[in-house]
Formats: sequence, structure tokens, C-alpha cells
Amino acid sequence: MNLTTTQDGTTFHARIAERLAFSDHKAFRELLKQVTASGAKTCVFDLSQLNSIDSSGLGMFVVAHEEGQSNGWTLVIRGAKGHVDALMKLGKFDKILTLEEA
Amino acid sequence: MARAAGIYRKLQEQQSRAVENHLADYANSRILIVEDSSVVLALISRFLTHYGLRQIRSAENGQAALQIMTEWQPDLILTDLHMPVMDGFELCRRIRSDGSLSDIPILVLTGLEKLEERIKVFEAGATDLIGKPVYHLELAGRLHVHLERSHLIKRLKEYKERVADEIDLARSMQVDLLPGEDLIRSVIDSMPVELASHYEASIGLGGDLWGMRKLGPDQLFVYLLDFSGHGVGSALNTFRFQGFFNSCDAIDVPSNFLAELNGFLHEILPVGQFATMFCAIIDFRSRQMTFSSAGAPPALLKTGGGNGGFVTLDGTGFPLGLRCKSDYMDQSLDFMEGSRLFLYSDALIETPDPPDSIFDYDGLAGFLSAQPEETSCKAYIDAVLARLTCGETKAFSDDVTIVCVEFSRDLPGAIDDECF
Repeated sequence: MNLTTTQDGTTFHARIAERLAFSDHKAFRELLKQVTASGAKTCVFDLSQLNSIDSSGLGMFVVAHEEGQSNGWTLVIRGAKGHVDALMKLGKFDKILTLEEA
Repeated sequence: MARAAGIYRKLQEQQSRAVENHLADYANSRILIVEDSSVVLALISRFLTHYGLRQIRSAENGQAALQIMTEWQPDLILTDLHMPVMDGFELCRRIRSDGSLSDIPILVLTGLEKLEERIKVFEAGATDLIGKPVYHLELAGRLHVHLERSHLIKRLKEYKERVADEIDLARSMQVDLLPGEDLIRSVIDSMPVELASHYEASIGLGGDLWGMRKLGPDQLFVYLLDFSGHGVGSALNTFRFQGFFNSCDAIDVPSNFLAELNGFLHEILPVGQFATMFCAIIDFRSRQMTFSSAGAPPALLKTGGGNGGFVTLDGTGFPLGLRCKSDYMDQSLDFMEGSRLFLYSDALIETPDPPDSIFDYDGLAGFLSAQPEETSCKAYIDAVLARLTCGETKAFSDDVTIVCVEFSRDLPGAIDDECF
């Protein structure tokens, strides 16, 4: 996972690039803590540079969604494409998460 | 001046006690001293005894040391460099070239001052140098460092071996979850089926599982399941699934099975963990296959009787365990003599990582379609694996499971139309 974070008012932006996989579990948990600590109301995961994801990676988005619900922020997933987008659609993740086009 | 000397002596006593305490943990370590000077040997032995080391042996040259080592595995060797018969350099080289001894720390006692000479000692295989004349606190300090290091490495190796043994045991238990010879034989003997499978866990243990069950004389339930992640955590989930499956007496339609399994997994899986699954009931009498998918990689189907190739089936559906209640959809298709069903885990589509994968869904269907018409189930799997590995033996980063089922035209069990 190649991660870049910025904050714009009450929106936390996390650009997750390259690959999101099982080995990123710890770093991802840290990211979620960071989002909560920032006091942001919305967290946008920009996936436009994410080339691939494994099943653990998809699970992390569900964890993020629950974490947001418990800590008062809303998760938006933006710009999924290619393999990532295909897996989201295969698992109907759009019914659970808020997905936006780029 | 006298006061300074007193402080110095007190400091030395404190250091000495500290070293003594450290070495107490290694009192039973076996130390071999290789030294041809009886004076130096006696001095070092006295130091070691003073620090509580109880198992000390000596040799007067490298040759004698090697003989002792074969029957008394020392934990550490202290050796001089210049000795008759076999010097310290040669002793270091011999020890390092012997697989069973190569990990032993070798501390070389040397008066060599030049850097080049000291480097040669390390090149021969020494672990560390101790300058002559030997200062007892330095000797004890270095002994402590190397005995501790050696002890930690040994513990780490033992731990690694124990974990490997346990993973081996768990692997064999997990393999037992897969359809055994008896079930496969029973299906093949009683149903018009040819089938083949391949299962390979990424680290010995994995989150994939496939299986089947005869629902009646003409109905076969077949599934392929993949828990998110891989390794020990996912493997444990396959055992949980097996418990559910074994307690599931009646399976009616695939969608109901998935809905029930979803409820079960939602109860037990932590947030973020889930499973994808494809399951189908093949009815050899009505020549229909009814399937349902929970976000599994789209299964591939070649319908017998036509000239068409493999097509991708609809794999969309909520992964299992994500939501407390999920609905699944059944779809039915013709499955007649010659029809082939090809199931696979996502490793086929994600090797190597996307977007550089060897296969995508349509690419895999095209690859199978390009195989000769008479290709057997096993040959399909072999061809896909050969393409994935490019002919090399290599480990996949994810679990690989492939199952191919064919409604055989030729087997004795094939259902005759007259049976209707």
C-alpha cells in the first residue's frame, strides 16, 4: 500500500495506491486511527491509483465503514477502476459502502 | 591518588559482579578451550571457573579440538591462533565447513595488531576476537554476548521447528476436509461424472476449500469456498465451515444454503472477514445445473452438445458473513452430456498481481475454450497450471484451488434417456 493523506477542512483524504493486501492490515488500522483522531466528518479513499486488491483489502473497507460509524465519520470510496472495481461489483460492495466515480 | 585507585577498584568489582550475574544463566554451557600454552590455558580456565562456568574442556591444537567436538558438542570455542599440528585458522575453516558445527561461536584469542591479519581471522570463520593478554572482564563480557546470541538463535530455531511441525499437522488435518478418495470413488461410480481437482495452499494452510455431496441418486452438490486472507486465520475458518456443512442435513436449493451459511458466518466472523462461494446442484436426470454465487470468481461453463466454448457465469452476490442477512439468487442452465463446469479460486485471476495477471475472467474462458474438444478434466487443470507457472515450480502468493466437473458421455453410470 502506498498511502498519501491530506486534510481539507472536515474531510480527510487518503489516496491508497498500488496494491492493498493482507500485509497492509496493520498500516490500515493505523490509518483508521488517524482518521478518527483528525476529527474529520468525512473520509474519502481515493482508489484511482490502486491497481489491485485482495480479499483482505476488501475486508478492510468494511472495517473502515464500521469504524467510521462508531466514531462519527462517513466513508466515501472514490475512483475504483479495473480489477478493484470488478471485485467491488462482484461482491456487491456498493450496497454496503458509498462508492463514487472518479 | 589513593582515592582514585579506590574508586577504580570499586568500579571493577561492580563490573565483575554484573558480568558474573549475566554469566550465571549460562553456567552449564560447554566451553572448549584450544590452547597449546599450559600457562594461558590454566589462566583462562581459572577465569571461567571464577565466573561459574562448570563445563570446560581443553585441547592442545585444532586437530585434538575437532576430535573432542565430535563427541562433546560445545556451545562455544575459545581458540588460540598459532598452535602445532592444526592452527586456529584451519580449525575455524574446518568447523565452518561442517554443517553440524557451523553455528558454534568461535572466539579467537590473538595478539595480532594489524588490521589485515585480524580480517584474515574473520575470513577463516571466527565469530569474534579477544586480544592477548586476556583481560578477564573482557573475556567474560564477550562470552556473555556470544552465549546469549547462540542461545537465542537455538531457541528461535526450536520455535521455528515446532511451528513448522504444527503447521504440518494442521495441513494434514485441512487436507482431510477435502473430498477423500472414498467420496470421489463413490461419486464417479454412481454418477455419470468425470472430475479432477487441484488444491495448493499458499503457506501450507489456506482459506480455500472445495467439496461435494450426493443429494440423491441423480443430484450432486458441488461448491468452492474461499475465506478472505490466507494462512492460519483463514484455515481455521475452513474448519468452522466444515462444522456447519456437516450439520446441514438437507440442502434444497443453492441460494438457501448460501443464505443460511451467511447467517452462520456473520455470527462468528470478525468485521472485515468474509468468504466467497460458488455452489451448484447438478441434476443428471433433468440435465440442469442450478447455481448461486456469493461474490465468487465467475465459474465457467461449457454446455455439451454444442460447438460453443466456455462462458463465464454470473458470480455477483454478497460475500458471506458481511451482513446479518443477505439474499442470494439461483440460476439454472442446461447441463447435459459433455457439459463441463470449471471452478477456481481468485489466485488464477490475481497471479501475478493485477493488472499484470496472466488471466482475467474472459481470458481464462478463452484459454479453456481453445483446448481440444476431447480435453479431460485433469488436462484442463494441468494446462491452466502450466500457463500460470510458465513451466516453473513456484509457490503462489495465494491459495490455488481448481475443480473441473464433466457430465461424462462415456461412463457406465451415464443416464439413459429411457430412464425418464
